[in-house]
Amino acid sequence: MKRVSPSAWLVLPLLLAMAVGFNLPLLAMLGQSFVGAAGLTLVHFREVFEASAYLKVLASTFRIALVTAVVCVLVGYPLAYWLRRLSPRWQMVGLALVVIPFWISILVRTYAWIVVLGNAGIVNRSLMALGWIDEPFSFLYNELGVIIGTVNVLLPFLVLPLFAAMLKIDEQLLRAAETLGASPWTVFWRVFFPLSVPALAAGAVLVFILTLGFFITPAVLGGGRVPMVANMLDLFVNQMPNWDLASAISTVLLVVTLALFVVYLRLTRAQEQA
Amino acid sequence: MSTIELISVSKRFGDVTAVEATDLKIEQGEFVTLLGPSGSGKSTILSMIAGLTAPSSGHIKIGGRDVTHVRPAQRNLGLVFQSYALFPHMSVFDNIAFPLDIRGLRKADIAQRVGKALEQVRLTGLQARRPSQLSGGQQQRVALARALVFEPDILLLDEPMGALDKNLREEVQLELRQLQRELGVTTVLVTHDQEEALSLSTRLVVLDHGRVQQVDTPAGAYRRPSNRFVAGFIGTANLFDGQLLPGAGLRLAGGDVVPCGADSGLAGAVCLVVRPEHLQVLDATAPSGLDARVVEVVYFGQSARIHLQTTSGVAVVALADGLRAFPVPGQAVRLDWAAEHTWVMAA
Repeated sequence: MKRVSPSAWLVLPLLLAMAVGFNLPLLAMLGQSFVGAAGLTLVHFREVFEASAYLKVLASTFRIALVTAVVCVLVGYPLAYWLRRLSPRWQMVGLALVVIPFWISILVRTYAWIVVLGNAGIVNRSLMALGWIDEPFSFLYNELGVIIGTVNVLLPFLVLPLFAAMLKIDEQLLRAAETLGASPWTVFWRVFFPLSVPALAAGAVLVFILTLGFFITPAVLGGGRVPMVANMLDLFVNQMPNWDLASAISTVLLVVTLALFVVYLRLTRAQEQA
Repeated sequence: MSTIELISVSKRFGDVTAVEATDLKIEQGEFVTLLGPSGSGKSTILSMIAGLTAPSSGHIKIGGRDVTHVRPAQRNLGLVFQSYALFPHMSVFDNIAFPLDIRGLRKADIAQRVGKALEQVRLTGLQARRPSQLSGGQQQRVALARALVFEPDILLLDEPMGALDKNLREEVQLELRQLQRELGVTTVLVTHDQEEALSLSTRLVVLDHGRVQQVDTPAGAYRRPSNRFVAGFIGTANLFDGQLLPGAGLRLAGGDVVPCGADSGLAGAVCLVVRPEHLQVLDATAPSGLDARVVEVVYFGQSARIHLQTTSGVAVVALADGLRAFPVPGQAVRLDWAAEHTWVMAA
């Protein structure tokens, strides 16, 4: 048997507090999804998977999460690549610009999008002034608005680890490829990009997982018209209330998230080995 | 297969001159070593030949073609980095196939040429491995195979043995020399290891502080160093300052007269070079010689290194046959040498 180091006893109270405070309620929630009037049952899950409304919400949540992850990749990769090529001083400035939004409340940032994207917002007024559109384009209270807001909030979760991974790519490898006859295009696609893919994939999975459980931004920018899992849970817990169904949906979400988390771990480990 | 020509090539980084105006011509098939301590500019010169660093002034020609402003990818040269710079996400096969693949060769040709390259560096059977699964010596050979497989005009080696342990290094040096001779590819090696430079190259370029100190064959640089730096950097040298006497002999500052070659063409104040293996350590009762005292004796088996100090305070090293009896530290001795084993440099 492995010996427990003496310092382990010091964290025991903390572990106990975490188990009682966080894990016990989670287990209770899991338990509740399996308990019905007549003991153990799968009836709540059957309800989730039989009612098309719930499945639709799950499907739209996954779709929004997927689009958000893809957009974060398309915006974040060039951003991280550009940051990498700056001088160290400008890298600091660039990173600060990426990180500063972290310090501003999500709520404030989300409401700010209403000012920017609303019917009388900066974007619509500019587009109309340019004569490109005749009437305001609805950016808000639909999936587009939710995705724009979510990408804005979650982009740093992709950019920061990706940038760190790109910095670790050995410049010598790129030079070596160059001396072997590769054009800049080939150097990028055959050497740099493959070496950055594990970090990129890990970042994308992280954004995907975070979007699955996102609440504030869909609630505000979706205006109640873009149902996502977290908002549906809010409905079941606060309005209905239907705790059994809420816990069944939560369990489904938890299982999917855990499965994705395993994928994330695999990817980050692949990155460490590279 | 090509010549390399540097025409008053220099490199400045801000206020610092890394390489002063340098002229150098390397012939087809030569194995030239750029030898010098760190900061001597040797790596910068290699980097400029490779095209990874742009010279501040001057021109570089490869095979007669001016390549000063040509991208590294278009110079058709193989470069082995000190870190090997193998692509970690590719197998050994894909690493070696990379330069062929981007040149658009057919799959069958690539397989055949990679197979031959693997054979040349004795790595057949390891083509499916990742670089991280290879030993340092194997990685070095993959890097060499990758740099040679596309038959480059020149081969550039940037301290390729730096990361290997001593035994392995000697083995790899031998292989490298055989391979280079077999292929006849013009090769430039950068190293700070004088033993490596002496054993591998057909010619040496000794550098210090961004300036070429001497260009010569290994034996030439060892026997006829052009200045104190070269004498001290290649092998061990005993240096004696003095006045050249008419006829033969050198008068040291203390008044002693020691044997000295007469064919230097120099006069007045000079510096005499005597290699440790030519220095004879005699009894104090010997009829002639320079008086000295033994400081330390270091035994190596086949030989022993005797550290001495002359009465005028010059530190001297002698190499003695390991089978003979050695003097002991503190013992008074006399030093002597044959005039034909000396070399005279300007002071």
